[in-house]
Parts: sequence; C-alpha cells; structure tokens
Amino acid sequence: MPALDGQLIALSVFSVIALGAALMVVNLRNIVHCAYFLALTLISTAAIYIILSADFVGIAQILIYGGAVTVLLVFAIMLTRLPGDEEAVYNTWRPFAAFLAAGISIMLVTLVYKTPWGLGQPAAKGMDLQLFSEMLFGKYLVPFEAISLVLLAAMVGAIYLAKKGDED
Amino acid sequence: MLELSLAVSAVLFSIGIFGLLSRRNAIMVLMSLELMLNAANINFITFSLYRSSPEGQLFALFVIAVAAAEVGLGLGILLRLVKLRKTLNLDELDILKW
Repeated sequence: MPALDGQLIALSVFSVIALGAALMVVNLRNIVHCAYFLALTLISTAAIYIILSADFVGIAQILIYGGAVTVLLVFAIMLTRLPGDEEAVYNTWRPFAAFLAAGISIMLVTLVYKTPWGLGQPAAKGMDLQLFSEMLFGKYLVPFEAISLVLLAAMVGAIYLAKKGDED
Repeated sequence: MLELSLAVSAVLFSIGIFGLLSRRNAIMVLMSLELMLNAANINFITFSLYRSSPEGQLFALFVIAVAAAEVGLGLGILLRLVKLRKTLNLDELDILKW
C-alpha cells in the first residue's frame, strides 16, 4: 500500500525531529534555547498526531502548546533570570539519570517490539470527528465540565500566586 | 507504524525522565514534564487509531488541558518562589526537607 508507506515516512521524519529537539531540550545550557526547542518538539508531536489521524487533537496541540504554553514558558524564563544561572545547569545525579533513562527506553522499546499487539490495520478513512464530538459532549460531558473548572481554578490560583505581594 | 509510534513515545518519555532528574532549574523540570505528558499522549492517540475508538483522542485532549493548567499554576508558583527565595535551583529549595 503506497499511501501507508507515505504515512510511515512522514511519521519517521517527524519522529526524528521530535526526538532530536527533545534531546536538545534536556542538554542545552541556555534555558531560552531549551524553550524554543521544546516548541519544536511540541509542534512535531502535533504533526505526529495529525499523521495518526487525530486532526483535532493535533490542531489543539499547536494552539495550546505551540502558542500558549511556549509563550508562557518564555515569559516565565525571562522574568526569573538570575545571575549565575548557566554555571551549574546539571545536578550531580546526571550520569545516574542518563543510565536510568537509557535503561527505561531500551526496556520499553524492546517490550513494544516483542508484544504481539494483534490490533490489525487502522480503519482507512481515519477518525470521525462527529463521533468524537458526540462522545465529548455526551458520555464525557461531566469530565469536560470538570476540566473547565480545573482551568478556572488554576487561572485564579496563578493570578493570586503571581501578583505582587506586599508582605516582604 | 503501531510499533514505531509506540517506540517514539517510549524514547520521548525516557528523554523526559532524563531531563527531570538531571536539571537543576525548576523551569527545566516543568519542561521535561511536558515532554513526558506528550509521550503519553502519543500512546493514547496511537491506540485510539488502532482500536477505531475516539476515546483515546478525548483523553489526549483532557491531558492537554490539565497540562496547560499545570504549567500556568507551576509558573505562578515559580515566580513567587523567585521573589521569596531568589533562586530556582532545586538543590537549594529544601525548606520542606527534615
């Protein structure tokens, strides 16, 4: 199937971009560069979602992560710049952390390739957005409303925490 | 394609763990957390596609919303912390340690 091969190539390309940018995020010393590479990772992840025919989630990812979260992170980084930030970027656990992360990734990848998934091929036409929205506003209406309450509470809490305090 | 996207998600998750454990700056720890949440989302969406059920995408959407709330609140706390303690180094923020 040539169409599926195109999907596979696109998925590989965006996976390489996402993983490379993620490696830059955790290894660069300048934290502003880290934030920009995080944006690149998040946008390539959105591309991966779209390739896996989750169009709506991909667009939401670009809007929320690529836009809002990245801008928020860059603002926070610029507001919290301290002298001597870039001298001791890593803590003493770094070799152990690298060992642990490599071990976990090797274990999980081996597990993924050894498991007989038995799920077959995905439906050719992809995901039905109407079914998605009916489920979101039907079966999952209560979690949806709960999420909006969570967002409201987080917004109020963030404003309260970040506003100028006069006690010190 | 199933194995490839699951493997990408696993590697992204491990990179997130590495960043979480190895960085000193609290904002970097939040960013590594975002990487790990995205890895979980890739898994949700892959299984949603292969099981032909939109529930995986719904949960990915919920994860995105909760992560946005978490970033907003976390950065608010960090701004406060910089004002009070003049540091974001997690090795020095040990006031709760006994």
